[in-house]
Amino acid sequence: MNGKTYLDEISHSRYDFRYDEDGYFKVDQGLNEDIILEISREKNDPEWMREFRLRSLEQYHRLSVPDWGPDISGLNIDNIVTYVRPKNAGMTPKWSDVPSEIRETFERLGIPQAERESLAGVGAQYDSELVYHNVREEVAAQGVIYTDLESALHGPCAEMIRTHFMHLVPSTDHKFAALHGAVWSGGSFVYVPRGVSVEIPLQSYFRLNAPGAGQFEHTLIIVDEGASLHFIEGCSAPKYNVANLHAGCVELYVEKNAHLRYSTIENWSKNMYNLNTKRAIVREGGVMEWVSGSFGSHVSYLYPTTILAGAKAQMNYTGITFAGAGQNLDTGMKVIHSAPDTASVIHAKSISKSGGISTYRSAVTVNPGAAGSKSTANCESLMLDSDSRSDTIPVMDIRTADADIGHEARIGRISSEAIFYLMSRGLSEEEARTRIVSGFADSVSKELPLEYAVEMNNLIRLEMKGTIG
Amino acid sequence: MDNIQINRIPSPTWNRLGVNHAALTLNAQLLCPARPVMTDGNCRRETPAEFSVPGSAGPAFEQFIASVIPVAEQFSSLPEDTLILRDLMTAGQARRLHLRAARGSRLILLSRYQTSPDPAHLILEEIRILAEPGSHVSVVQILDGDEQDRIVTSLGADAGNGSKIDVTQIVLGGSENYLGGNILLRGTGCSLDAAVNYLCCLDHVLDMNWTVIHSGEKTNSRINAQGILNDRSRKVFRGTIEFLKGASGSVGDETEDVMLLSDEVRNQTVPVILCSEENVQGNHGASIGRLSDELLYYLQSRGPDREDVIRILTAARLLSAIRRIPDEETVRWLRQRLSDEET
Repeated sequence: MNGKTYLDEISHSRYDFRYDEDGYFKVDQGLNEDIILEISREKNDPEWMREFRLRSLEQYHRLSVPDWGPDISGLNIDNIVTYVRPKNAGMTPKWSDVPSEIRETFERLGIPQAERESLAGVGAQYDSELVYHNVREEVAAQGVIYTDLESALHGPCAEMIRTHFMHLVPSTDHKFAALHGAVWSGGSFVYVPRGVSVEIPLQSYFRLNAPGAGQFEHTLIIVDEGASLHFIEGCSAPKYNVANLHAGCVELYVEKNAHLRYSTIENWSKNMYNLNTKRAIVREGGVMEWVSGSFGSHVSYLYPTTILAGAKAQMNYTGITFAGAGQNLDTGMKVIHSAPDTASVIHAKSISKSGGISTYRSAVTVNPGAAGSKSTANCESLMLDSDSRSDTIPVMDIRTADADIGHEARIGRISSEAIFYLMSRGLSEEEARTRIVSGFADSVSKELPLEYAVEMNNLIRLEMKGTIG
Repeated sequence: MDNIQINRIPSPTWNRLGVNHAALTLNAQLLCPARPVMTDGNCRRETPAEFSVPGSAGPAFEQFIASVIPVAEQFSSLPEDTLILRDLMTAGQARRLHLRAARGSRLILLSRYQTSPDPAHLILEEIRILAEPGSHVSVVQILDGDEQDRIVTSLGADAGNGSKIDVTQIVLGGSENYLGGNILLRGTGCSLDAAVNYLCCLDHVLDMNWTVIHSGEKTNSRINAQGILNDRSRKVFRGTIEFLKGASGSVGDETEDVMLLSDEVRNQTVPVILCSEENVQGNHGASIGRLSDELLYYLQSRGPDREDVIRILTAARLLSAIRRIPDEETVRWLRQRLSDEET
């Protein structure tokens, strides 16, 4: 009865493969004005974007590295290549036109199959460039725009991009938002017109192949009044012995009575510094749902933020973080209630094992004027051994009396009573432990489409290996 | 004038939330030593033990107060004996108090902080406690300053095998109150039971920093903070439970219940659990909000109007701490004080 549950390291074999980079275009390592201008020329930026990049670079130099989170001293921007264009890569809507080794990469990751079977559209980014973007005809016929951001910058949506790009996440927000503003490349733009419901999900998949490189894709989604969308984001990379950097940015605009679900399965390799920024603004009656699974990366700073800006806007966050050997994953969420009768519900879970560090960090803010707001948070952490560490650091900042705020957090190990109960029902101890740990993650996997839930369960492959005292 | 940071949280978070520490400006020249602590029971006026656990306000505060009061007052209880210490401080005073609860003894510290005509409007106290095996220490602190008084208390304690530490902090008034505790549960089977009860009105600031470090096996901690915020008052509660590797079989519970009575209040709650040991249970629960409509309706249906209901509930929250006070004289004083407030 006093045994322990052992989880194998997540197998990265499916994700940990790489190709040579002969013929790839790269900017120099590091960060300076010449590099920014070179990226801007490569991207054929409009003038305002070129100036925005340069202003962001100034901000980057002005801002400090966070002094409150995991150590990122192993990340030296002077060693990072901020832009890599694969050989012969150009954005195409035809899968057969994608360069062969890139096509093979995404096929090994199962992306085309997923598109055929369950997606309304797919975007695939390889290093710094979108290489494929496609959306089903019937979805496009509804007026849904799903394209790469660079194309959108020069097309009929150019003004929409200009008035939304980095307005939710200004480059003054923090050092890595500034870095993103300076060197961003790739990413997707989605516009769902008023009243349109996209019944099956769109997905963007980000693959970083080059060692010592950064990926800085920008995702901008506008779900107009009364519309709805489920967007899925996946990411992976082969493992190298040098630091890689992901400093993407996601900006989500959920208009009046609109609904957006944003699901992420993050499986970066364990040399990755994942310093991603995600933010949503939700107007009156809108609903924002985050489903987040964090499994990869060496270090993560990841806190999807929601601004509930309209009356009766809602936010649901369901997240799980799995920190194994060599990982320090600092994840969580922020929500700002800025309008009356807004509501947020938070379910966060984490598992730490083999020396992994998992930190749940959150902030629930209820501003003056957000009368009638409600927030409930439930945070559970499972420690699978005493070599690991699990922390919860929530903050509640309440500035109105007419609010109802609840928060619960629990840290512990697998309950021996629960094992005893299941064993009394005929399960072996090993089966009992497996079911308990699987059940712990179940509240997240059940929020995902079936094929992604299977993917997540593959990532949390549980193995029970006997017992020790 | 010294600008110092106090009540620093052990695990900082986003700086822009303004909860990582409190900032204070202090003037050493305005302070003088407090009158000596009154003792009731046998004691030694020395503490041979080292006090290695710093107080909750942090090193900058302790450095400052040591510049005002170079030598701490020291008291040791006798083994298996009882010692009661009565500590009354008024505005303009500072004190450093180092206490050793000898093996198997009972040590009770009753501290009251009150206003005075002194223009400094400042009270500072450092309390360090060593609870030897099997001892039982009770600390009661009642903060009762006036509209201008700033009170800073910094409590640090080191608990040995099987020792018990109870702390009761009651905040009745004061312009700015800074308090908390930094408790190391070092010995096997030792425990902490802490309760903070407060009422903040007008523009009062209440800033708390509680940290419990579970180091020994089978240690237990419980921190319960409950209070009421009215008018434009602001409260920060930092509560950290940390389980070190080796604290197997330990349990830490932290609860907070805050009633908000005005749209101009600001409540910040930071309940932290840090865990490096698998075989522990750490729990936190917080409930923050207005007086529930159902409760208000029920109580009003019994006769009192809304203002009376709020007065009754406020008194109930403060009086709930009375059962924790192991001294009749202090209980009588507190009842009278709350009765005066009513009238």
